[in-house]
Amino acid sequence: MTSDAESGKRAPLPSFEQVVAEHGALIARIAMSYEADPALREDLVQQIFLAVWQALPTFRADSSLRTFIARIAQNRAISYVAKQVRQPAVAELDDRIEAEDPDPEQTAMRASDRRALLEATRKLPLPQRQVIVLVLEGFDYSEIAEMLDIAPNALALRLSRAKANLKSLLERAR
Amino acid sequence: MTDFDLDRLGELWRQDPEPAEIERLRRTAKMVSRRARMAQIADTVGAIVVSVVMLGVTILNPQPTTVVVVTAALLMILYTFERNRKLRETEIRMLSGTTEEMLDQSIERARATRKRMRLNLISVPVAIVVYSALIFAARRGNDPTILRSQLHLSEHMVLVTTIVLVLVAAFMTIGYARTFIRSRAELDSLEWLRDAYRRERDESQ
Repeated sequence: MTSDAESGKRAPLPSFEQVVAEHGALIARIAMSYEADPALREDLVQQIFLAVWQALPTFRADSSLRTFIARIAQNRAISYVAKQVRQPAVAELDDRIEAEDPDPEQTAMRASDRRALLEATRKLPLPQRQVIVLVLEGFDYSEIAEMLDIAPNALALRLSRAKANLKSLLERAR
Repeated sequence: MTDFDLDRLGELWRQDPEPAEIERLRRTAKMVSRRARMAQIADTVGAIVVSVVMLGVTILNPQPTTVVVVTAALLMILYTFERNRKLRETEIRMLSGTTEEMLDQSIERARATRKRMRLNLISVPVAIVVYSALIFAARRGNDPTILRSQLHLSEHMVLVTTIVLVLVAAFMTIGYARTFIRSRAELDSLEWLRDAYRRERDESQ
């Protein structure tokens, strides 16, 4: 008996509902890193979902589905920022995204750290923000280089600049 | 936050959302996909209904003029479908490509929008002026019923039609002007972003 891969068959595409269940949080975090205003962010999330819904049938498994979704989400978010034609507002982190924690003090500290991280990320120039968000999302460097279509050494340089800027922004926020 | 460790920051970044947040996302996604499906169905059903009506009109009134008008309308529907399909394909390609490619294509699109809006901003007022001149000339030439005789309208209806047309044209012009102004700002923003990406790429090489 031959497997699908051996016989050259492609694995069936996941349904849109499965994609949302598996990658909805990734989409929400990417939207959050580009838009601070909760109402506008909801609009951006809807636009990303629509783009994913339309693009899903074209997914050819050249990369992982997560990479495909992240690329669409980032590109949609960047074009959204360009259309807004203003600097993204820095608003309070929406409390709904925080997970419950049995230790309230610990929860407060994590929420505060996360808010600081999010606000610092939003202040990065877009090319650097894009790299940092992908690193924070846990993509490996080869995936990021492929997603951005840049050489690994160029990615390393961009990332080191992004890290330096992020560090300085986080230190200033302390 | 005192230390700078990307792995730790990554863990902080990726913490699981609340179940309520996941449920909210699921609802939003469901609503988006339902609306998109409905729009697709509405497009298809609309085109089918219009085509059937057009064919019915042709069968009931098989005049050469009817055939020409119906053929033109059907071709227009086909063209609109094909154009929308191509636009969707381009949009998907743009979004699933690299950011710089997406920015380049968005810039092209914003430029095309500006060109179209500029043309509309010129042509709509010109059309109104030409139309008003025709009415004026018709009245001056003791033939106040040029439109009436052509369109079988009373003088009162000619006046109402003129007012409605001028109002529609004014609203259209305001809409075009707003899009034109907004597209300038959008184009500036896109070009600025593309330059930022190019600078970043050049500095990284």
